[in-house]
Amino acid sequence: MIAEPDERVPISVTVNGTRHETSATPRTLLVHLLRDELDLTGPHVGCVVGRCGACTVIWDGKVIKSCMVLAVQADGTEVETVEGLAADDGTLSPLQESFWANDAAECGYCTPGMLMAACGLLRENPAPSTAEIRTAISGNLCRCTGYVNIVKAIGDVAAAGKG
Amino acid sequence: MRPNAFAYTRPDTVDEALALLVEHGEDAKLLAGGQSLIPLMKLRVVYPAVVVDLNRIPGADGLSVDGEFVRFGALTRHVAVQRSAEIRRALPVVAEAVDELADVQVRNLGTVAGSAAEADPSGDWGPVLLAVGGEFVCRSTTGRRVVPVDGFFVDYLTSDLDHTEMIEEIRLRRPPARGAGSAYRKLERRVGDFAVVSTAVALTLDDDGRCTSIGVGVGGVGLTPYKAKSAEDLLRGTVVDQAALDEATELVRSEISPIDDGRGPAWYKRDTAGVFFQRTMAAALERARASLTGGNPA
Repeated sequence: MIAEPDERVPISVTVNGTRHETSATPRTLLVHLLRDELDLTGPHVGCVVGRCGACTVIWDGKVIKSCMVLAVQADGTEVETVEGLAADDGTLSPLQESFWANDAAECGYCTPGMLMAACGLLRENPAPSTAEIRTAISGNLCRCTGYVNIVKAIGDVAAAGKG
Repeated sequence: MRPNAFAYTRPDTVDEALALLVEHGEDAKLLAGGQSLIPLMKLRVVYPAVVVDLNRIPGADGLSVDGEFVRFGALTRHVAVQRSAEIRRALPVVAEAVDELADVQVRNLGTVAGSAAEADPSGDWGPVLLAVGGEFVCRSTTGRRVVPVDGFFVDYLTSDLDHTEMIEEIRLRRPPARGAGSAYRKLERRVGDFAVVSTAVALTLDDDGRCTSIGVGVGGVGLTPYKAKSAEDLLRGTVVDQAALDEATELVRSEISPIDDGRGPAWYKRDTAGVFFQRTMAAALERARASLTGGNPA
């Protein structure tokens, strides 16, 4: 098959456990599919050239930047966004609680990306060192420079064994 | 910021992908990890009419090690290289480069072959490939062509790859079990950035401490990643002492052609390349000597 530039390509994608049958033109980025078609505005659009990490999501288990993937590539795959972290009744996840308790958000723009990068880290490495935490969020910029509290928040939840 | 409009196709086999390249000519671009291509498309630096997505081709993301080579497929991602214990042990230069390459997100998707094909002189893979040595297997509908790493980077952002070819395999020469030492050192303005300058060294010492083989790659100092052949020639066959190292350093500094840009003035890059060459050599020599004495090549 070849999809023409103005053709809407069918995309079947599971996001935060819910299956969506949607579509997008080839030039549409995954972040725009999530935000504009699926109304999931947690993944933020920051730099748009893959440097800031505000659009970070987990894609088939891997932490990635959703502005660096085409929406059509997500067909048949699974995406997790920050909206999927809290329970259905709004109870925050331990990681979100820890960000709250540590004042790890200032303006909050980078927070969804930070949370997803941290979430991916803790799944693979439930007890990371401070250096490993810093490496894991090195692709996520916080222009308020609130890194100290972010690293502390991730470290606290790991130390509590709730990663 | 979105890419120009393009047609999209997702072949299931390499043959199908290669046929699409023939059909669409220079208007087609292969999409592997997309971590360079997609941002370049968003910046409208690159605007292919057709994107050929390789990501659904099964079996192209392998990594294998045999007696002679470490082999990467068309879709082998940086993260797979980073997690290979065997590569970390046998080729620390590769592991150190991948550790410093971009960030977690990019390493999870970006591919070795895609990065090599981009041929950015400040990328991490170029100097490493030039230091270690090996081959690119370039495949087209008419067959396969083996290009030595040394002949692959031809100009700024330009590899030897024809628009009808794809990299089917990258073979890195495997060092001997004894006496090998390698290292990568990079100066970056901020974590995960392209190099201001970077240096890669892979060498082998015999039991007398004589350097029997050496490869030196330098990044960020010209239109392509640079293979420091004069320095290699000077040091090969000798017991490397500080005087020889200083002489080799001056050769490196005199032969590179850095330019003034946002990452620094040419004089600074020239000077720093020498400093980093010395540091990288010291680390590689230490590892090679540790390997000879049975110590732990930390």
